[in-house]
Amino acid sequence: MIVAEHAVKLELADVSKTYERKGQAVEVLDRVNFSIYEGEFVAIVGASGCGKTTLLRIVDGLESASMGAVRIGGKLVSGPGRDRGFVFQQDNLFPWRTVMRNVTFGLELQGVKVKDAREAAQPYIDLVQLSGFENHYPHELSGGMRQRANLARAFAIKPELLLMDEPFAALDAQTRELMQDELLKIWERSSKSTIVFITHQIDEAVFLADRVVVLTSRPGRIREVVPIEFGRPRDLSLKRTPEFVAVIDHIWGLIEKEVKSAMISREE
Amino acid sequence: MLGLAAWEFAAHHTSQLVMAPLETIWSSFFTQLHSGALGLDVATTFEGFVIGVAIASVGGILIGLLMATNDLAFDLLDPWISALRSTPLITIAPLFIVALGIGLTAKVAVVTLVAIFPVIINTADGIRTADRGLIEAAYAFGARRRDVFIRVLIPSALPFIISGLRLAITFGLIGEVVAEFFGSRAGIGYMVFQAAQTFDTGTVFLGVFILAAVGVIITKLMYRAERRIAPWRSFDVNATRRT
Repeated sequence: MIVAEHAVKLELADVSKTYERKGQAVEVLDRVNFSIYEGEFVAIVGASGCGKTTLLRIVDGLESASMGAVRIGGKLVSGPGRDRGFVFQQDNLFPWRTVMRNVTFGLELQGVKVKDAREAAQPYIDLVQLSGFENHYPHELSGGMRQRANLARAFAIKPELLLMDEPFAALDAQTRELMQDELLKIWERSSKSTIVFITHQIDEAVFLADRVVVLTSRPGRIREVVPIEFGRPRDLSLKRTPEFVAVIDHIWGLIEKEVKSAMISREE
Repeated sequence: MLGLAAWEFAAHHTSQLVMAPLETIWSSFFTQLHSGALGLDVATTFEGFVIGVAIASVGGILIGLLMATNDLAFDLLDPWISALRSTPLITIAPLFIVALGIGLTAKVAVVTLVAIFPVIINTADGIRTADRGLIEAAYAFGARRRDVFIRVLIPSALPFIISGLRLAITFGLIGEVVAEFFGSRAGIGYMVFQAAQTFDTGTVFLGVFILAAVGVIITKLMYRAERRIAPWRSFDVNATRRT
């Protein structure tokens, strides 16, 4: 079992990304080396513009790396795959599909029959507390409910790797806290996919993750990988403990200068 | 009711050549109905209109989809569509009568010609303006191009296509009537044209009323169809209609 627990799920080997913008090369990511283990929850934080979203899109195959390799379960990534789930910042639910049909979307693509897909999706709808809203359309739901449906859609395909790009950034502060709590519960009750979670909120990263990867900004490099040793299950009261605050202070110290310089360069 | 009262008042105080009181229109209705002419006229107009709009709908959707998904098709067709979309094509209706003769074929051709452009343009726009986030979400779940087309692009375009069809119906009805003005042996357009020549104002307005009624009924039916086919849009539709 120990061997299985330490199997590498995602491996980033010297991943670099350079964009061409107005004839100038912009270096976004610089030789990112990192491995994530099976069943691990990893959060990536960094100042805005540090390339964290680009990194996630490369892992999903929505973009390709300029150099280096991404391997999932030992296999080289060449494009998006049905073994991966992606949760976007915008909920990106299909407005013409009901909650149920949104959640079954990934399953339908895998060729699962509609009736079987519904049965498979129902537990996830229950899990995100949307029972009774199966036949509602996204525009009839609140922002928090939409994002929960979005989570259910991603979890329903039982992804081996779940990629989340600031999924709670558009929510108000209270809803966001509740969603963090909920996400951990859903994750613990489902088959415990490997999760890569991107955020610019340090407390969110520390609360959720087993390890927090701190990126430097432009070009994005790994500054430090911070192991988070709080036990699970965690609940929101953890955020009020001095140990929690100490970890946040440490991470903030790593990126403070860059957040400030990013702010200044944007004001220019 | 107020409108009808105003109509009556105006009709009795202007020349009978310009306005007809409701009772005159009513009696025209019975004269036309009993002679069997009205039934024939309505059926004739309906036939040309329905066939023309059907061709325009199917053809317009296919051409629109082709333009939105194939760059070569877009480059070839777009200059033509752009040039023709704002041209009052109805003006070349007489040429169709000359080329195709008096009868169904010429009328269907005119109806198709004026009705097809809004369908093409709306279909292509609907596909092209599909939300990039939704397309990306589909790809992220492992969709292939075909899946994205069927499961994202078509549903995104559907409300646009329905708007295009609504315009096609309006334009098509005008096309049909105008084509009947220029050359036909029956139809509501023919009836109105003949009546105008003999200063039978009552029958002219009978035709106008029938066309107006058809327009209202079809628009209502289209709204209903839209709410059924695209229920997620009913919210928007109600919001715009309330203002």
